[in-house]
Amino acid sequence: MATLTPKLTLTSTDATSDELKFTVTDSLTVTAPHNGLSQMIADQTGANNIVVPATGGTITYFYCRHTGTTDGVTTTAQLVDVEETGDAAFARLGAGEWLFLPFCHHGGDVGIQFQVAHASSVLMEYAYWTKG
Amino acid sequence: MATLTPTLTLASSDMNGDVLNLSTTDSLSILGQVTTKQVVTSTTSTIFATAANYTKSYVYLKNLSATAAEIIEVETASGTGKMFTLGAGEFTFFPWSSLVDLFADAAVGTPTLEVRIYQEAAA
Repeated sequence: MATLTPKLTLTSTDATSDELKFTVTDSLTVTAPHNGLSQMIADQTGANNIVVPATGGTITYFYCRHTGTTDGVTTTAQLVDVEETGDAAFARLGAGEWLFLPFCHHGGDVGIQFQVAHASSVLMEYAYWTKG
Repeated sequence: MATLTPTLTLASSDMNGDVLNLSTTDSLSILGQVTTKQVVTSTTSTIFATAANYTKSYVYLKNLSATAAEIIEVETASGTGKMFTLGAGEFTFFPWSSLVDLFADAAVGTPTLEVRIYQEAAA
């Protein structure tokens, strides 16, 4: 067992007439299987880009970020769907966007994959940890 | 048009004999719909974000309960489409394509779900 501490800060001075500035944090107990910060070049075929294998129905804390590049150098604005391995997308990331969520799909034993919206490639960053 | 700046840090000092200290931020252009609310959930799946009311948006959710058993399932179909779960005190931030509605369904009790939705400015 280990401890993962996520912290999210949201700020805006002009989203509404009231300034937005708050921070939320948590202390999560995590265990194996886990995958440290990694990168992969995703393509248009989801099955080629499985980053979280079938979870067996466990809760998996999942982080990913669209690097805004195809290979770490060449910029791209291609959108990337984040999908469960049954091909249903649950988020779509533009360049520079990221997400963090506790994945646990109703299908039980499914994982997570990336799928680039068009015939292109995008370098994606990701990591996951199993809830302990 | 306004700017929303989300920053996420992930830290751990006892994993793999290594120190994790990830920090990532973004500058998001938002326009139009902003929703800030708290929803009292129940064991009956209830919609809290209607896709037709938004275009692509950024969603923050937090389970405000301090009771471990009061888990909130976030679903894309009422009672059946669970995508992820929020334990007591857990939160998430993600870009929502707003192609499907979002529902909340508590495992037990009536935990409160904090909801913040910021609609992306069209490119």
